[in-house]
Amino acid sequence: MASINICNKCDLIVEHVPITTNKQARCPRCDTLLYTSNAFSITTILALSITGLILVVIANLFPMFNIDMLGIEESATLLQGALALLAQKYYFVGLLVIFCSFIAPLFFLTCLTQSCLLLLTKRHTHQLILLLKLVKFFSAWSMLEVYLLSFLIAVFKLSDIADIKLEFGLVSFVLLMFVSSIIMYGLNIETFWEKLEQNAKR
Amino acid sequence: MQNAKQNNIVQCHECHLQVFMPSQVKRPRCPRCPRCYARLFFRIPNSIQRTWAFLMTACVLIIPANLLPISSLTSTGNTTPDTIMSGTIALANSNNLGIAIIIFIASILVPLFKILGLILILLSVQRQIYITPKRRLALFNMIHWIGKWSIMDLFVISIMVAVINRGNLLTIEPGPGATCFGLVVVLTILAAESFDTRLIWDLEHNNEKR
Repeated sequence: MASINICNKCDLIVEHVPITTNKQARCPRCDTLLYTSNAFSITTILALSITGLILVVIANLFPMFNIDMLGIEESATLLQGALALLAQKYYFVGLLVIFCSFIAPLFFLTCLTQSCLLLLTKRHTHQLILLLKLVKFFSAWSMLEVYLLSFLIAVFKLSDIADIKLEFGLVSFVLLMFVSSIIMYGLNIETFWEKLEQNAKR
Repeated sequence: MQNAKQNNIVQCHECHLQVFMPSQVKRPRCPRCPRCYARLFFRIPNSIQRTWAFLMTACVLIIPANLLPISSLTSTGNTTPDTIMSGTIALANSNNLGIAIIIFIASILVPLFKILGLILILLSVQRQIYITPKRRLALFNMIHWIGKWSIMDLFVISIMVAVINRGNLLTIEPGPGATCFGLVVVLTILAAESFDTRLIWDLEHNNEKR
C-alpha cells in the first residue's frame, strides 16, 4: 500500500517513483501535483511559523498608515477597519473581514507551531489530530495577499483626499504575507501525518 | 488507468491515508479513518446537490449585492449611496482607471465567472453538455484559485470606514449590499469546496464501460 499514490483530483492510482531534488511528480491523467521532493522539514516549518507569529504581533501593534485629512491626523491598524464595521452593526461583513484577514492567518500559524512542537517532542495526543485538521482549514481561509492588494487600493483611493504616510506596521504586514506564502509553498501536511503515525507506534 | 474507487481504496480527505475497504466484507455504516478519525468516503456525499444548493443561493443573492448600495459617502450633509457598479464608474471618471478595472474584475466579473463556471461544470458532469475532463478541471482549478480575490471590495470598504469615519465632514458607511456581497463570496467558495473533482472522471469511466 505504501508504494502507490492516489491523485486527489481524479482518483487515479499512480505508482510511487522516487524523484530527485527540485523535481515534481504529477498525475499522468490530470496533471495535478502528486508530491515534490523539496517540501520543508518540520523544523523549518516551525522556525517559519514562529517568525510569522512574531510578525502578527508587530503588524497589529503598530499602525499600518497615517492619514492627514482636513488637518486631522489619524492612524489605522490592521483590525480597526473590521471593528469599525462591527460598531456600525454590520456584523456579518465585519466578522468575515476579521476572520479572513486576522483570525485565519493567526490560528493557522498558532496551530502549525503547536503541532510542530508536539511532533518534534514526540508526544502523541488526540489534540494533535485536531490541530492538523485545523491547519488545513485555516490555511484555506487565510487571505493576507488579498488584504494587501485591498490595502493598496484603499491607499490610492484615499490619496486623492488626504495625505498618507505609510507606517512601520505595513512593513511587518508585508513580511508576514511573504512568510505565510513561503510556508504554504513548502508545507506538505502529509509528512506531518506520517510523523504522527511513527510517533504513535512507539 | 485504474481508479482507486474501483480497487476499493479510499483516500482519507483529511490526512490522505489510503484505506482498503473490500466490497466483499460488510462495510461499517459510517467508516472512519484509522489515523485521524475523519469520516471516510469514496466521493463527497451528495456533492452535486450541495454544490447546486450553494450556487442557487449565490445566484439569488448576487442580485441584491449588485443593486443595493455597498457603501455610502456622506460629505457635508449630502449622502451619496454607491452600488458596486456606480462606485467603479465613479472611480474610472476620477482618473483612477487602473483601480477601477481591478475592482470591476474582482467584484463583478469574478463572482459571475465563478457562478457560471461552476454551473457549466455541474451541467457537464450531469451530461447536459460535453466538455473534455481536462478543460473541466482547468476551469475548476481557476475558479478555486480566484475564489478568494472577490472579497477584495469588502476589505477596501473596511479600511476606508476605519479612517474616514471620524471626521464630521466626511463619512463612509457600509450599505446592505455589502452583506449580500459577502454572502455571495462565502457561498461561491463553499460551492467550490463541496464539489468533488473526481466525479469528472467517474463519468468518463462510465462512458467507457458502456
